[in-house]
Amino acid sequence: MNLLAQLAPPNTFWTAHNGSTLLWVEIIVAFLLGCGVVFGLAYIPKELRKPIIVTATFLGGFYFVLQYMWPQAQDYTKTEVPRNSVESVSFWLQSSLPTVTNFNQVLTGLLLGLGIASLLRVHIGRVVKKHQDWPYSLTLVISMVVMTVFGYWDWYSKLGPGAEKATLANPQIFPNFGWNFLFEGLFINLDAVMYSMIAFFIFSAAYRSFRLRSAEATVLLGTAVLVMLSLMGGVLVGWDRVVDALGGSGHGAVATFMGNFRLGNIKDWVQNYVQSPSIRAIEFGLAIGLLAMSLRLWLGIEKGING
Amino acid sequence: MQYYDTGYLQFVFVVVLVFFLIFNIVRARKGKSLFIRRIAGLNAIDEAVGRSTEMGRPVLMVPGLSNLGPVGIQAVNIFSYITRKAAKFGTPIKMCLADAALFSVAQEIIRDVYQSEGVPDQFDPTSVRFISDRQFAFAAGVVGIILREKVAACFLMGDWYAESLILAESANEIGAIQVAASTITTQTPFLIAACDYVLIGDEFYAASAYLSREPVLVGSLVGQDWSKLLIAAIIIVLTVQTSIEKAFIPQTYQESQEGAGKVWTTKQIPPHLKKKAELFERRLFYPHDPEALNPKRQKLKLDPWDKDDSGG
Amino acid sequence: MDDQMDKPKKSLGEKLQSVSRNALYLTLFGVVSISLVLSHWMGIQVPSQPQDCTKDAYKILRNIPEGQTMVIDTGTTNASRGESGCQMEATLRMMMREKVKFVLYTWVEPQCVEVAKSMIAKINVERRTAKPPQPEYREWDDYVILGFFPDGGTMLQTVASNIREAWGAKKEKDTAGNERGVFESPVLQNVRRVEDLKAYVPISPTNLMPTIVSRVGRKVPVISMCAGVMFPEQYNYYKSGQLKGLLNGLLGAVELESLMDKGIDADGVVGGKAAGAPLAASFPGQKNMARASDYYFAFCCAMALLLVTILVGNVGMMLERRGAR
Repeated sequence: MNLLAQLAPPNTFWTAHNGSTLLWVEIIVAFLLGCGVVFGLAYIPKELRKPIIVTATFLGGFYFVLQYMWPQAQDYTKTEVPRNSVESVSFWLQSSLPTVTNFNQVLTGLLLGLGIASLLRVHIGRVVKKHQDWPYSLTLVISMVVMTVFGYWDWYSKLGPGAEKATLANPQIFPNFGWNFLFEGLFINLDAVMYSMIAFFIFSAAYRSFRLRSAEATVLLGTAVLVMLSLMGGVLVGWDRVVDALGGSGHGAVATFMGNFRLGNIKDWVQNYVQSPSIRAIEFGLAIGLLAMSLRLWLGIEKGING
Repeated sequence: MQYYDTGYLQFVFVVVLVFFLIFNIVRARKGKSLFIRRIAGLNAIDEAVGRSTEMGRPVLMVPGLSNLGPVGIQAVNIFSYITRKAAKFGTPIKMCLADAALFSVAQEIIRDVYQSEGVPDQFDPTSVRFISDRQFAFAAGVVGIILREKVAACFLMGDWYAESLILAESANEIGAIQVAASTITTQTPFLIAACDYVLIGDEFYAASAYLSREPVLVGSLVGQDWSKLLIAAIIIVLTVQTSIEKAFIPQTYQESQEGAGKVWTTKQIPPHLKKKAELFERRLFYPHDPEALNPKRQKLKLDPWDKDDSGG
Repeated sequence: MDDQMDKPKKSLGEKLQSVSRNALYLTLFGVVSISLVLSHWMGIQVPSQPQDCTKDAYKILRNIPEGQTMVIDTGTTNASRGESGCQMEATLRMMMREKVKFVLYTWVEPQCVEVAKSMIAKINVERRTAKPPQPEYREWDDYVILGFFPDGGTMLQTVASNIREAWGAKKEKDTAGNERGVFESPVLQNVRRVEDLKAYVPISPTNLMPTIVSRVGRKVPVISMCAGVMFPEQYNYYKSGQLKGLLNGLLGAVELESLMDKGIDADGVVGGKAAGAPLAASFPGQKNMARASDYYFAFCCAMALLLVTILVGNVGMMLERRGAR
């Protein structure tokens, strides 16, 4: 056993050190391979496209299945050497995870760029052609540009070259002020406004839909009313006091029987024996449905409705 | 590596479920006819699209905050079916997405639908739009589209969170017919209150099989049902087994006498005083429970969060 | 004028069933605003009866030994300050009083960290101005903020198997202003494995539970502080033992504040005086009933208004049916 090998963290495929030859080789090979794949895919015959897509999907999914299923080495340090093949694979998988996660984020960033491009194309087109409601489109484009400009300007003033001269506490810095005004003053509070609007919508939806139209609706409404009453502390305490007064104190048969009618106990019963089993059943179904859909996508046998 | 906590049972169970799915897919491919029950929400699609055509107003489809995953793909699959119906009647469509990756995929799928229907000119690239990946900015944008375009039919299917009620109520305000489905269970009650038809739970995943009757999809659906039956059977069997165990089967353990060296005596705990960790079903699902691994039942100092539930 | 005479008059039942949205919204706005102002000015305290799940959460958090480390996984934004904000404030207050060190991060959105920082600053002011004054909580010595993790599920998977690998790259400024690895701070220097953490507390209105429970649920006690709408789903995790405690939105925050005020005695009674060491002591003589208790009266008024509105709609429906017969 080479004890000296444990002194420095190993220079592996996924954890090549900054500036090392291995990292440069990886970057150049990945770039050339990427270019080759992009151009090559455009020229491959049609009949090969589906097998390539299915194979790439399978390999990508297989990596994450392996991550989940393969025994993970617990609490190892970077300088440790794997003791057997199982641990070797485990070390390799664990060290690859941050890099693969970064792939995801890079892809997400690129696709976000695509989405923003589409958004701008749609709305600038509407402004130029003076479609109906074009002022809203103009507002969106201006907001996007202004937010982006202030965001980068503020970042540059805090973290860019020469940032050590600026002070965060100095309210005179215009980009910082602009950014705070737009993001923390306007955007975050608009977020809160939208969230708060849900209360009003719940109100009108409940008024409209909670009607005694049928036996099932009556049971539903009755249960909902009991649960809502139990959420109100004053009602809960008052109701329980009335029940205790009727049943008497102590642990006699009457008191114990009447205890079942305490609002808290009724609510607990509904929660434990009606609500929870129903939610569990729905969750089982959803989880199995998700498993089936994921399996079909992974194995490339998902047909879609249109074949 | 989750099975360290649950043992190999979890892995075996998943393999069994996967076997059910693949077995039934193969079975369906061989031409065996399989039954699917009626789902009202999916039957209403034709009605909703027809209504939009009559009123000359667009159909809106929103997959919620779904990203490019099984939920998002399933939502877009259903929307492609709706788009096919709309394309046949020349009804305009609007699709609003919150995920850029799903947006790219959805745009291509919808374009393909129009091409396969023979009406590629009808496809408007701006009808499939990326709105925003911020939850409430997305909600605000879609509500604006609903109220300005006065959509006649609204399909809200996918991963819905707090914004579900905002959209559903806004569409309800203008009298649009709504069909919704959420994979987040806690949003289902809001959608039921505000929408005309709701697909509950895995009816969402059954939609593609229901609408297309494609053998792979129908077989997969039957496999899902077998899996649910297996889970139900396990619950029933273990409930009965645990009840019998707690009523009749005592726990035997060995204890060393204090100050007497290594002399072990065999003792028994009455069935009704057995701890949760000593029950068979607990040991089956949590084999590495520290309580369960201790055959010599000493007085262990319990952590504050462990209830001393000798009553089960 | 003929048109007006021809238009059939709406019966009382129809009127009660068709109250306009604007009227409903205005009523709700008025009731909530007035009750909120009244509650704040008059200090109205609505009593509460803590549920078992809240009591279990309180027992765990209250009994974390001094100097040990716990984790707060925050998803609290400005939008969710009504529920998550109140839960976060009560939890932070409790941890600071118990001199428990904490690690704070988010994988929901970056804004959550800023909200948490302002909450910590607010509680520090409270501690400084209390009588007698209490020491402020300082970053690096008493807590560390790891920031935003874009892929939280993957991060948690690494935390579960190797916490030093998961967080090892994060750096913070120590008291001298030098950037150092977070595991050099007094908060994390004794944490080698995830099991060394005494509690994992996600405070979020989003549905993180399946990921958290499957990754770290068996290794560290998880206490979820969720929004009211997520409570029914997460209650299943509590009943199965995967969650060791659970708070139900604003009501949970009120219950937590109430437990901080009254404690749980040796017999498990809230506010009881049984002999023996209490299961979870209170914080006597300190400010316990805070923001959540302020909001609770308005919450109850809104609930009551909702019930009245549902009643009005149903009465209208019954009157209309009776009239139709």
